Amino acid sequence: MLQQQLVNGIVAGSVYALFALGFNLVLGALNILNVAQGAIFTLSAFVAFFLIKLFQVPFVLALLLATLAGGALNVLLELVVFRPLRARGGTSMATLVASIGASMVLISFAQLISGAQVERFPLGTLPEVQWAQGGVRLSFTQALVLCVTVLVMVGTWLLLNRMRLGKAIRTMAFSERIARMLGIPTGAVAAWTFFISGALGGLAGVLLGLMFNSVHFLMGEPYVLKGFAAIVIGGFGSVTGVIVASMMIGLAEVFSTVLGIGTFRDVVIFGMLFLFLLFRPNGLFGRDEELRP
Amino acid sequence: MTLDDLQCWLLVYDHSILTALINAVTALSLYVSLRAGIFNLSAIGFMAIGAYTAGILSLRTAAPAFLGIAAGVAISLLVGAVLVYPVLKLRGHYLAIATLSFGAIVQALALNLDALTGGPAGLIGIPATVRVWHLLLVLAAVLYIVWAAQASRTGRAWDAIRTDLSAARAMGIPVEQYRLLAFLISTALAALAGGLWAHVNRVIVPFEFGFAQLTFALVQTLLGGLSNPFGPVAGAVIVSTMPDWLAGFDQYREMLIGALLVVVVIYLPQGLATPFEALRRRARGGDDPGPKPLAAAGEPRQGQT
Repeated sequence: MLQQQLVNGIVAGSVYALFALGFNLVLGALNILNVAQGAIFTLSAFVAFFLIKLFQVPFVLALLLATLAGGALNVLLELVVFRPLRARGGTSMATLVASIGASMVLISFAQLISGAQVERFPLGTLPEVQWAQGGVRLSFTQALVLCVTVLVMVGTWLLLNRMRLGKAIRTMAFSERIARMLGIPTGAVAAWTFFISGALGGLAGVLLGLMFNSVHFLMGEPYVLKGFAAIVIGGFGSVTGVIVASMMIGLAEVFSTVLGIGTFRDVVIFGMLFLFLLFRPNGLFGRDEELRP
Repeated sequence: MTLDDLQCWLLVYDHSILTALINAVTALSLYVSLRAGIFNLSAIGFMAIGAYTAGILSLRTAAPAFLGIAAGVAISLLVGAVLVYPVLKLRGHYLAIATLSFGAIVQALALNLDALTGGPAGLIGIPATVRVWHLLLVLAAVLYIVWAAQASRTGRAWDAIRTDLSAARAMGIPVEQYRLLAFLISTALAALAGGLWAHVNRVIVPFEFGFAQLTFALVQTLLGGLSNPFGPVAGAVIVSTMPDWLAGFDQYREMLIGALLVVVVIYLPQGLATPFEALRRRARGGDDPGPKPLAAAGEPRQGQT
């Protein structure tokens, strides 16, 4: 029983981790808190849903296409909203407000195309396989979520530490001016950062939709707030921190249900966030914010 | 237009006018925080506290509306006084996240404390005793207070803090006091707006105190601009009456408001006053753009590395 809850918590935490990693990437590299990530999460889930429902696309392909769509949408946001704002010297607060507005537009678009209905994937979208081992059951979707998360974590690590793009992103995170001086094409790097971030958000959205077999236009909202919690608890800019914090949030959710205070699990999580802001604002693994140039 | 026409017009648009006036108070609440460089997004949370306090008091004890509204403001100030110490220690994104999640906590509590708040169904049957002239008086008083504060030493201190917190401190401005003052005024105004809202709409549900509401409040405040308190009031009136003069608005409400927010932030940093500000600058001959309207105190400014 306990182990089962542990598995459930880690699976839930994995989806948070995917989402928060994307959040964190844009925040770290460009100092943009992109609230619209939640809307991208939702819209990607809808893309996958419509692909499967209307065109009977196999789910692996739908997952891939929806992930790409999430990335493309985020690049669109960068080009239409964030880049003009940066060019006009918008402050980081102006960027946050703009992303709130953009998020609103995208969410109401999702509401429009879905008619505010809760959509379900057709039967047999995913193989109904289940593994049981010593009282712990793992459904196919859960296994899929875990595998994808591990792959994405390895991929992110490789990207940030082994690839030219990752180095460029890290330089931008240090200082955009210095990056420009070094001849890094900052515009292109920013676009790529947004693409990866949106793809991660989209991937999380599709996986969540498959996991609960429900896609609706408000599904992203709790993820935005919990994504905030994950990046604060983990420490701004820290990849390890975000992953650990996401797992903590997933486990806190599952275990507050076990303890019988499930209706207050959001209060528990945001209470945790507040305690961190009070006593350890740099999070578990964060650098000192004052040192950021 | 005869007097009868006017009376008829007032009757038809009564609810729009009430909504616009309450939204003006909310917009002024955001205005005070933003003016002092505090990126405080907790207004909707305090609005909820104000609304629920007023609603519960009037339903349970049949207390007169002004008592419930005053109680809502008092409770919000108490909560705000506890919240303010951790929150004002934070900078930039951290402050935004903390205040945003405060709103989320309030909404989660409103949804789940069924015995007190009525859960997702909310509170129904609050007497609608607030009239337009009450609101006009309240708004006039609030506007006077905010105007007087921002035109005085306090307002200049807020501008200094928003522009550069460390420099303001170095000049001997008691930064923490002025930030505290701004936060508490902001809290009280939001709770006031919430209490009035409860007595105008008869019904309060938790979903009204969410992201959409925050977006509306931000649009109203920023459309009007931060250069003076009449800006947010004008913004509130324009945005709240949109369903009346913009055909098809209701269908695409959220989409239009979201797009408007993006456009205002990118292209009209001073709100509707932007063209006039530009003219004034040209007349003065300088090209100093002045302090950024949406700057957050304590954040490194652009090009300052």
